[in-house]
Amino acid sequence: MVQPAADLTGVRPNGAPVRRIRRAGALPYLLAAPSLVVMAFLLGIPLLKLIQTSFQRFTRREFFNPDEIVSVGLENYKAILTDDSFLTVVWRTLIVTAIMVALTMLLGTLIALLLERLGMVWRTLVGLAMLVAWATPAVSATQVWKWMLNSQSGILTWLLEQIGVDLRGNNAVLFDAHKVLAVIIVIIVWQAVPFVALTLFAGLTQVPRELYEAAKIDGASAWKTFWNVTFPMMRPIFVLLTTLSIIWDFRVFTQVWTFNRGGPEQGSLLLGAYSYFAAFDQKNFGQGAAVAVIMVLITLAVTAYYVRQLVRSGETS
Amino acid sequence: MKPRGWARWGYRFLAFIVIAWSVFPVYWMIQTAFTPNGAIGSTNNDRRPRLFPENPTWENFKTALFENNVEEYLWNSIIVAVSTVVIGIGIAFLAAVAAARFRFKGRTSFLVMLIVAQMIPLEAMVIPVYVLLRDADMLDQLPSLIGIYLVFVLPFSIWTLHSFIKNIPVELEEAAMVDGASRTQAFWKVLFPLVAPGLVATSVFATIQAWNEYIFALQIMEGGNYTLPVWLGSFTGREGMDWGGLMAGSTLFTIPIIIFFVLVQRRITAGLAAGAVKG
Repeated sequence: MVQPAADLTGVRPNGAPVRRIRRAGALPYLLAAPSLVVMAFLLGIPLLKLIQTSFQRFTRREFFNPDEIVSVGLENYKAILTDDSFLTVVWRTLIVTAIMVALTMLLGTLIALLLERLGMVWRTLVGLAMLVAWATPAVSATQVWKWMLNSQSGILTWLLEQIGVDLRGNNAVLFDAHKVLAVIIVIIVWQAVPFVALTLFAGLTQVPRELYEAAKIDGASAWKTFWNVTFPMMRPIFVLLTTLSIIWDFRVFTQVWTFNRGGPEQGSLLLGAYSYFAAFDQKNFGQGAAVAVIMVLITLAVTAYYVRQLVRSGETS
Repeated sequence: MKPRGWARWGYRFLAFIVIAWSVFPVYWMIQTAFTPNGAIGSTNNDRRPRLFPENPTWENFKTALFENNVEEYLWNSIIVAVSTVVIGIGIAFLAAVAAARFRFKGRTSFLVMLIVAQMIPLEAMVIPVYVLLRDADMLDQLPSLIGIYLVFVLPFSIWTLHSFIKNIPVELEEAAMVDGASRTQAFWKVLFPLVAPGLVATSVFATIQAWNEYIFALQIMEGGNYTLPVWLGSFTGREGMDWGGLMAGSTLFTIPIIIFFVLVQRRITAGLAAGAVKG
């Protein structure tokens, strides 16, 4: 996949143009036009509307009387940035995202290393099993975990009871925000690990065998071999997977909303769901939009880093 | 580095744990779906859950399908997913050909734009989309949902298809054109058959995305016009709910997706990693 540098400039080292150049005129633009039009209309316009709304007073009242919508400058941003409940959600989202990403990367790495040490049959079985977790739609996954932790007849409730963890009656998961968040983390990690593990395993198979043999001759321990041989070789892929995981975990909505609507007492709301909650539950569209804009900006900052990595690795050529 | 003796069994044991952890929730969903209603959540709290249903039954599936309007939601989901994919893949393919086969001004920006569009949290767009659709009086209509899902699937589909096409040597088409084929013929007779598997894989992936989408369907559609995920997500898990029916519905919703996903996963996700390894 690593493209020769010449491909970026459109000229081959001997001066001949890259074959891809054809005297095409308007054709490529015509081919891309339908997609561009759809994206411009259906993504571009909502994006502009989002930014506009975030600068307007737009609450329940204006919702029913659109004529009364007025621009209020930065007021929505000021309001949320001085709102303790918003700052709590931001803080919570950062912590929860960090835990999700760390767990995903750690377990993904361990499973990738395990896959490398298994024979064909076991490796295939583990791979297939992980695909099942990966493919399960978020809504189904959330409902199944909720059912397994049901305070009356959940199988995990029963299992945890055997080791002394009581999740029955008043101790039910749904009554405690921390427990809800813990389960949401488990659900996300359960579904995120397969992609990371399988991608890392694919990367591991490309590390030259000779490096391991050399390390073995030098008498390096397993830990040292991983740290000094495997990790440096895999660094770019680690960076990409970590960035992707941050982007994906940061915006979680479906699991939060279907698990317990952000409850109890909004204690399990994360940023992605907070914007929805502010707009549609509290009917403050202006502030909800401001939250969404902040979320988009944070994501774009992380994405910029990701795109740079990707361009460096030649994926866009 | 093939481990031997005890170490090998140690690794197999770990592998078994990973398998159990990955599959068990889905197994439990299916198990519950086949358990007779009376045996689910019976009043005896101390009773150990059973690993296999005692008297497996189709009852829950019948309830799930023919009560609660689920049949209707199922149709909505199918209509939305199929329309999204037919339109989306159609126009994505054209753009992918442009990006993979032509060098034109703005091409790199186009590709970078796709990645950025792919990364923007579309959850954040639900507010403006809702307001815009309300102002246009287009809430609660399937075409509105299809339009939104096009934005979900386009960037990813163009990107993936562009990688597929890029990997097919352009010399094949050129040879056909030297032999007297027109560009259109070279395209349909040479390129198209070669990318067909990639098209199928990308379509399946796009179907899955449209099929699973939750937040827009939740906010834009109303009661009678829900899609399946909204129906599934509407169970809050409080006391006295029909877990058997819910798990049966979940099973019907989930199993086709898992099968499709297992079939195409390798083709689709390899690309993401490939560029990154050697950096």
